[in-house]
Amino acid sequence: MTIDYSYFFKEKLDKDLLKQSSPYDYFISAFSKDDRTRAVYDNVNSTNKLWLIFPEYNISPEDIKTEEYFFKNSADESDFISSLWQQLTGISSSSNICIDATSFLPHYLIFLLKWLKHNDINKFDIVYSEPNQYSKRELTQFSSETVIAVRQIYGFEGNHCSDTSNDLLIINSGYDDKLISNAAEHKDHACKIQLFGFPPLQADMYQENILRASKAQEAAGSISNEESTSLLAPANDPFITANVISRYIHSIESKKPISNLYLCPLGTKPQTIGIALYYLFEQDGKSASIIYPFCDQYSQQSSFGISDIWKYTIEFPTS
Amino acid sequence: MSKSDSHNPFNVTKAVDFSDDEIRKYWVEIAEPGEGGFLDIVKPTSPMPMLILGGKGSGKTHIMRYLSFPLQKIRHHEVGLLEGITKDQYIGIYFRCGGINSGRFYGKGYTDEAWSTVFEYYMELWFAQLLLGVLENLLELNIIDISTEKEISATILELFDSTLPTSLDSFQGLRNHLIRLQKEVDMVVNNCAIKRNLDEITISITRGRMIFGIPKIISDKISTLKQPLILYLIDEFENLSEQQQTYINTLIREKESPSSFKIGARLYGIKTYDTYSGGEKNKKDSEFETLILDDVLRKDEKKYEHFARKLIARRMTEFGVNQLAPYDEDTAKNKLNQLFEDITIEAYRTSDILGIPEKYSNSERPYFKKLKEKLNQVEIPQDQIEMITDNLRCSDFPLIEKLNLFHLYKKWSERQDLLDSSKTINENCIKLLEHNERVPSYYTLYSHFKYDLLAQLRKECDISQSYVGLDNFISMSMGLPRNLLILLKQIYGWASFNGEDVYNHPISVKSQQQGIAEGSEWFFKETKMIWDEGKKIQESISRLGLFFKKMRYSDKPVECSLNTFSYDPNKISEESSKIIKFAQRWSLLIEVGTQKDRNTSAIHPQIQLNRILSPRWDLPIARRGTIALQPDEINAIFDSSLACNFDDVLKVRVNRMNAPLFGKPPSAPKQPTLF
Repeated sequence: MTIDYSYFFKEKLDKDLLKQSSPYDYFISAFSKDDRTRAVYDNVNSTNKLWLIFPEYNISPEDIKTEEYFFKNSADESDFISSLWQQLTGISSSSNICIDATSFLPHYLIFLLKWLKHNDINKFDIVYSEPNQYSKRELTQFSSETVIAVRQIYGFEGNHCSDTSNDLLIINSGYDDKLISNAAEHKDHACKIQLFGFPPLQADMYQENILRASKAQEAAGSISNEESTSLLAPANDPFITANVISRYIHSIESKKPISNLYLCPLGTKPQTIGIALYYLFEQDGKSASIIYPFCDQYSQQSSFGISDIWKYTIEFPTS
Repeated sequence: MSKSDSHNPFNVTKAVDFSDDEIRKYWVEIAEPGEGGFLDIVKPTSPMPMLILGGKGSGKTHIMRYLSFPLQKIRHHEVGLLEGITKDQYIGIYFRCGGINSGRFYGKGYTDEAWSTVFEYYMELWFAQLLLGVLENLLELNIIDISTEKEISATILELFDSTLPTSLDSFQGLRNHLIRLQKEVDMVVNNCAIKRNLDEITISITRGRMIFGIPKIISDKISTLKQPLILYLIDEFENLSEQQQTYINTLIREKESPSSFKIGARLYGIKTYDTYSGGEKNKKDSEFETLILDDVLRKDEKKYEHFARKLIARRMTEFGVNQLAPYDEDTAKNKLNQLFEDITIEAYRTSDILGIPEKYSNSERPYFKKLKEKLNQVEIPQDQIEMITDNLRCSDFPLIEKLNLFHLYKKWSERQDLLDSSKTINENCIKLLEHNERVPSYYTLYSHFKYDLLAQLRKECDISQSYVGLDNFISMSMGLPRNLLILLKQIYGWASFNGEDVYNHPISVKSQQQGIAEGSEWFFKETKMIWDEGKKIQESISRLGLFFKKMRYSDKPVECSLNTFSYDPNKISEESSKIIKFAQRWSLLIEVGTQKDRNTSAIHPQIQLNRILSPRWDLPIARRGTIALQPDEINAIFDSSLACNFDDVLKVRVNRMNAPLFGKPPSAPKQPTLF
């Protein structure tokens, strides 16, 4: 199935627009010490607002003060989200939902998208706030880089072909070169291509990204301008990201079928959303999966300031 | 830095990145058949299962893929596959554990026991597909008579627990059915995250039925394939969980003829020897034998060097440059060495070394400056300092000056008269340089420590250390072929970047040094990927490297070419023991022998820092001396909770080697007499 993801709706917001928009029934955000999530949480217009505390952030519930939150000490994304759902009594397929993806950890975000689809919530908004700058530029640490396991994200495990002769791994490379190396080493035998955010969120972030990713070149391959080793998609646009991946896969498959496709989201949240959308629309049930190098801890704050705020409207086809 | 990969004969460093053709093209044996080559030691025709363990880059995957059926087809293309298989006496079924993505069979509300049942069933489906793929191939090549296909298929159908349609009467039909069953399992496993339900999976094959049943059918029903073993080559075993390894261990224990197993895993890759067979454990030399590839590659350095040169020659030849085939050891050795600019040590003793005389023509040489400062600290009159220093000079031979200083520092630490000592040194020096007379008490120190003195000379005169020449690269790879390939890849990459014509001129010293530095850095940074202990291991190795460095560059090093330590394993902390073990499993530290403790005569292990890391701390590549580290030193290096003591233990050890005090307190009862 070929889809043009550019038809999906996206909009740039500011705080006033957030306040003035029609109220949501539920607004869900991941708690962190990042300014970006607090600013949106305070200004969004929603009947119910909920912080999610992910165990990997090592945040104490006392940091939340009096706001409503959900916490479960489980790094199993399916367990976490299914337990969350039980707490959200009253939520239904007609609920108007908004998710702030800014501080969401990728595996929870990706699984949540499938969960919403499975529960017939076919239209919802995702908000993302761009940072002004990462805290230590190209030296910013987003995770502890202690990888516990590299595995499929639950629900995105796919079918698997016993012929592995033409496996392909697309790594959406971010700043975490250790994670890139881990993911690439895990699929050592696969052809690899890296997807970078370009245009980046801020002008110098592309160079910072390349500098970090180049440290993983022994595992993931060299970075060049040729499409054969790297792809480019806007760092803040999930829909063009999905389009880029879709077009690339089609071009590869027209030459020789891919035996097993692996996608690894290590870039920005919008690109992570794009990868999840591409998977759900075009690869669910096929020999494709989303893999992720799971760390024990992630940085509670990795950026300064807020640049732009984006709203992406996700629509799944109704069954 | 951009490197032109397509012009680099060493661009591909991993066997997983090779096509089947390339696996054959780049195959190099370590010895002639019957003389301990890979095919001899791996014993593909042995019914005894084998664990093939090796560090990253030891060649496990290349060997296992070389034995696999697709490679048998390529290797026997000319003589015919049947004849080839008959000669080989096995059919290799290669399977990579990473391919089944075994992390899926976990969690999602179900216990490990529930998942192990699903996993076992999945493996039966997977292996059966691989076997049927081989049968399809053999049918296409007329090695299996088509008239027997239906009968064989019907017999395979009987291996299922449930009755299946008899319309599945072809290998392709059966394989497609297995694929369907596998996809059903994939779907349920995938949906389990949402639906929390595994009940939709119907287990239709008992453990072992396909894995052992199909090979038996092949042997019984296909007369031309009665003899060959069905050899399961299970690679990347470390990717399976403990429960999943228990299942494979059970297959090993319960194996049935004509099947056998070769299991490829990293040194740390075996998580358990448990089985599901009445709680029994598999035992070495009973249920399986073990081959540690690293040991094979390291135990005979000459053999490994020969192998490494053949490997390089093969790469260069296949790349179309420097025709070195057929490989002749004598001629190829020189030809390969000439690909790289080199510096010979003999030149240093007798000629203008490293440009130092010219560099310091108008200033004091750094090592003499340092000596004068130290002599000043003990308040020796200036004129005496000049006399001592002058006695040690021989301007055209800086390395001999360093030797002279070394002798002086030794005398100083023994509280000898420094002026007298400097005179004696001067006499011996003149004998060497003018009459080539090697006074044993003078020259022996040179023969032991010349490389350390040279390293010190470079460091003091601000010249980078040299790790150039093919002999050094081979030595640095320490029995791991992939490390050698990575070093060469980096060197060729830098040479290309520096605009050198690598195929017509030797690669410059500069490019070699840049490539070596990058290769060494890569190996060190890989450490951090080792589970959650990675950071601790990396920091420990850093402390060890620094320890050796401080000792090597002291005024009076006690051991020459130091990169090895010994220790008492019974007297160190548990954490130290664990970190040393992990570092060995990841080939950062290599056990190279044993040493008798001077005091207790107890036998202690000797551990060498992987030579590929030597450039990081300007350490030697060759191994000569071994330092016996005390328990508090070991703990300060390897136990992160005691690392706060590291600076102190280092200071205590290194102070004994440095003037003016050599570790003795300033208020020592006997002061050195200088006159």
